[in-house]
Amino acid sequence: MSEAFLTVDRVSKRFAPHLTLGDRIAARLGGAVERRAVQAVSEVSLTIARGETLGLVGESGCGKSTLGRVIAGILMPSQGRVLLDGAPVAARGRKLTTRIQTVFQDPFASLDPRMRIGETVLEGPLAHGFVKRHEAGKVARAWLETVGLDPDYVGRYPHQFSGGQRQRVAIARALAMKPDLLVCDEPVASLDVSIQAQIINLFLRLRRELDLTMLFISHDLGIVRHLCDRIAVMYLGRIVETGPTAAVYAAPRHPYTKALMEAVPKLEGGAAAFRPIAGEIPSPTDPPKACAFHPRCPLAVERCRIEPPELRAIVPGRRSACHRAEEVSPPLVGTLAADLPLS
Amino acid sequence: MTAPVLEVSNLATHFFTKAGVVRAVDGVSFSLAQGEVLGLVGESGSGKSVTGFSLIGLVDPPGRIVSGSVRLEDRELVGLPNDALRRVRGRRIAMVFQDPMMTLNPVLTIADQMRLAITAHEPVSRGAARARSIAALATVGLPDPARRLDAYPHQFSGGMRQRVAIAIALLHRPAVIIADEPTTALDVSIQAQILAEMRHLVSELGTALIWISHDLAVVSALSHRIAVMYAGRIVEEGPTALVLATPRHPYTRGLLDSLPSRAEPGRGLRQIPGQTPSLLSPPEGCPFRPRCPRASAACRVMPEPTGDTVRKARCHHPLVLNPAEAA
Amino acid sequence: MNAEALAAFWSEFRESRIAVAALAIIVGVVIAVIIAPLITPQDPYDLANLPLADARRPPGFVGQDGYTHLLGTDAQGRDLYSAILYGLRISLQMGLVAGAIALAIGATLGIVAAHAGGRVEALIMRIVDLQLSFPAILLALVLAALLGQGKAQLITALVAAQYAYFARTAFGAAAAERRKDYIEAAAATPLSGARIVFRHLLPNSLPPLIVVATLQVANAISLEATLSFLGLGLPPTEPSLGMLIANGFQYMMSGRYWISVYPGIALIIIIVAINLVGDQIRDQLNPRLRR
Repeated sequence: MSEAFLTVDRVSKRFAPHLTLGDRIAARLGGAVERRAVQAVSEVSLTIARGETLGLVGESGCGKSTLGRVIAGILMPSQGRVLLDGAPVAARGRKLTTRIQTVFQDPFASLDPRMRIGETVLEGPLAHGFVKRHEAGKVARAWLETVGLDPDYVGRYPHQFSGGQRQRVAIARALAMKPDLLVCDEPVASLDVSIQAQIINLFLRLRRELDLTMLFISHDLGIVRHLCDRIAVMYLGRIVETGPTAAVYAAPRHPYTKALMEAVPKLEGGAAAFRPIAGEIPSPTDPPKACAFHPRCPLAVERCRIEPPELRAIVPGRRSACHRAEEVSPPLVGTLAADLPLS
Repeated sequence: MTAPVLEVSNLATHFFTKAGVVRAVDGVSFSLAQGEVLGLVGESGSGKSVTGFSLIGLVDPPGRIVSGSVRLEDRELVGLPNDALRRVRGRRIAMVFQDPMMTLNPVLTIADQMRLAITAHEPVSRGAARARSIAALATVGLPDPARRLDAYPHQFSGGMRQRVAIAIALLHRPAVIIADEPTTALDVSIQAQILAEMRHLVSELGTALIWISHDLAVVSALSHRIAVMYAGRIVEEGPTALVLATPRHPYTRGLLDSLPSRAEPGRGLRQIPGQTPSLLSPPEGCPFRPRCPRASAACRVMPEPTGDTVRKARCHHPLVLNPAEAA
Repeated sequence: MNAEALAAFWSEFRESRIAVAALAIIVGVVIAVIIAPLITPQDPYDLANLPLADARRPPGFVGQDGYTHLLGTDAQGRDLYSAILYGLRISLQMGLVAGAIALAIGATLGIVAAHAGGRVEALIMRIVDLQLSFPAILLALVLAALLGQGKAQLITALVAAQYAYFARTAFGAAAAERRKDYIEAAAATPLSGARIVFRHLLPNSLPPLIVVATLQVANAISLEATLSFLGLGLPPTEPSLGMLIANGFQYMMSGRYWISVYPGIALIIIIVAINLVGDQIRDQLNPRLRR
């Protein structure tokens, strides 16, 4: 097992409400003003090895996007630090490295509508001196070709492309910076199913050709299973389970992971194709005490309401934040994991 | 054998834009029996949402229904004047949208909105309307309905808002509900809850449901029959399990094959090459021809639906598989 | 912005006949004021040569120098037609220069405030808000009175009265853009703040600024006329439209209406024309719903 390339060391991120003068006056006069802070990420520690693809999975409010931004250096952690190859990724409010790049979710919003796509791809490398002006044109064309676009499109504007094509441009822009780690935040969620397949295949090819290390953030369990070597599941700002993808899918060791897999409808299902989780996702401003999942958990006991569970190793390489991790039974037959062979 | 509650024949809805005529829906026919769930599946540009809007008469200019018929409980909806349509809409046919805020007015309480929805079609006292509203909210599984009734939409989570929208749709016990991607914007766990609710409601109330979605798995969990749309037409139709296990149309096959759950992890997915055609200038003949591995010269002619009463496909070279090959 | 986007914009603009007519008027006026010395019989600024005997003559009067005063003469014997054209020239000059400077200052402030956020944003925008709560006329009046007469002083007063509109508009547009993914992507590369502001925020905040700029030019013209009418702004030797109107005011009741009315009409025409064009641009640049 190779040593850690990216280390996330007890990172927390808290968003305090930004109260303006008007808000403060309103609060004094008895108006209802949201003053609670949101603890988006709590004490997250994880590692990614070189060449590995880690999947970060969870639903809304779990903090996966926030964690992704902290790792990418876009947001500063409230506590903890992120290290790439031993060196801090950000400090004093600024990102220090160009070796981590991000592909964002919305292809319609992540490209500047007033810049030609060739300029968009080249902007970073030119600004940082990776590419000289005289070779810029050639480099742009080469990158477009690498991501499967016609190089003659360098002069076009984003609105002239479809969603899938724009996402390819976004990938080219990220890769043109020659990153060591690529953070992908729901890169295919906004695309049609058949286009998703094309982009996933593109990721697979590029990963192989460029030997990329990737952090793949997604809510889609099927895609994560397909692309990722290891997976980390998040719930309300904490990691609840980690492990190799195949093993986690076949035999999850946290009730939330198991419930999530059972809730995804599986194709060819009849009535048994899915099973809903009870209750609503709690608001991040008011999380449950101790274990965040206990109000919805079928295995919850008194201890879960009092003592927060630690993310502990169950077997080497697998961790779970559940007091009763050993008692989690395999997911229902006919749900997402059932047909995956145990590695 | 009861008559179908909804009968659509050769529906065509075109948009007359400056750039040209967009044939969003171009010849869609299907029927819906009482209590049946039809899954209308397709990607963006397939015309599935426009079909839904056309059925309920919510197509805005520059679009309009240019031809075809929509018979709801043996009454023709196409060409009905606006006030007659308004009496039908909400009462016999209702719609649930992807974004619940398209149904819910942010400045009115849920109580007011539901009361307005009720009294739009029936003269009912405030007390009676309130009682009916509480019952409707309980039906969709909203906890503590009597208290939540006086809340505003922004005080609910996304999943709860969608439940309220479904409750409003059910107020007059319509014969047909059209649901346009209602769970696409929701989390997996909430989606599962709503799917379970809908399954239960449909069987209990006998409401026919058209579930529009791009997600084949969701449709497979809920619908009895499935209709796959491409470039404004239905290209395949039949019982859900049968169509998904043994698809006849190459597009359906392509969609299924491109799902990650159907492939071995880490290996390339079988992708459909190219992109959906422009609806302004569709290719000659079968619109799937440029992307189809089975295309031939015969495909320059638009295929008509072939098959039997159980299932149909619009293809000159339909896949006829035996079950063993489908695995 | 590229050629085909401009072509598409123009073809849509052409659909509104009112807007095209208004644009034609503006273009006509601009051409007329540029070649004013060639098409006017008289130089209204040349005080020495004004035939006082021809003062207050009605439209159509044939004067001493032999030409017809198409629109009559004013109290000093100026040919009103010439005076109006030269007056329009001053109005347009003032409007465009003041508008351009106010745009530059206001847009910079607004966008920098949006990008910086936090205290800087609060400080800049509170000053802007404070200023917006004063009527522009009041501000311009006070400044013009303090600074005295003259073109530079007038422009200063106009800019001070108007930059706040640009700042607020630019701030609104930039604040909407700064949350978007492509700005975040630029910051994530990482790219410098200056680059983000000038290369990304500014170009994407332009559409509403263009609309405001167009309408503010009309506003500046109207402000300048008001100041001149009240005797502030430009010296009486260089009569602008406002001053012409003021000069003719005393004669309104005695039947010599043309001295005030014709300059007034000219003012109205140019202001309305600019507003119509500005409206059309604003409608076109609005994010449109399904057409």
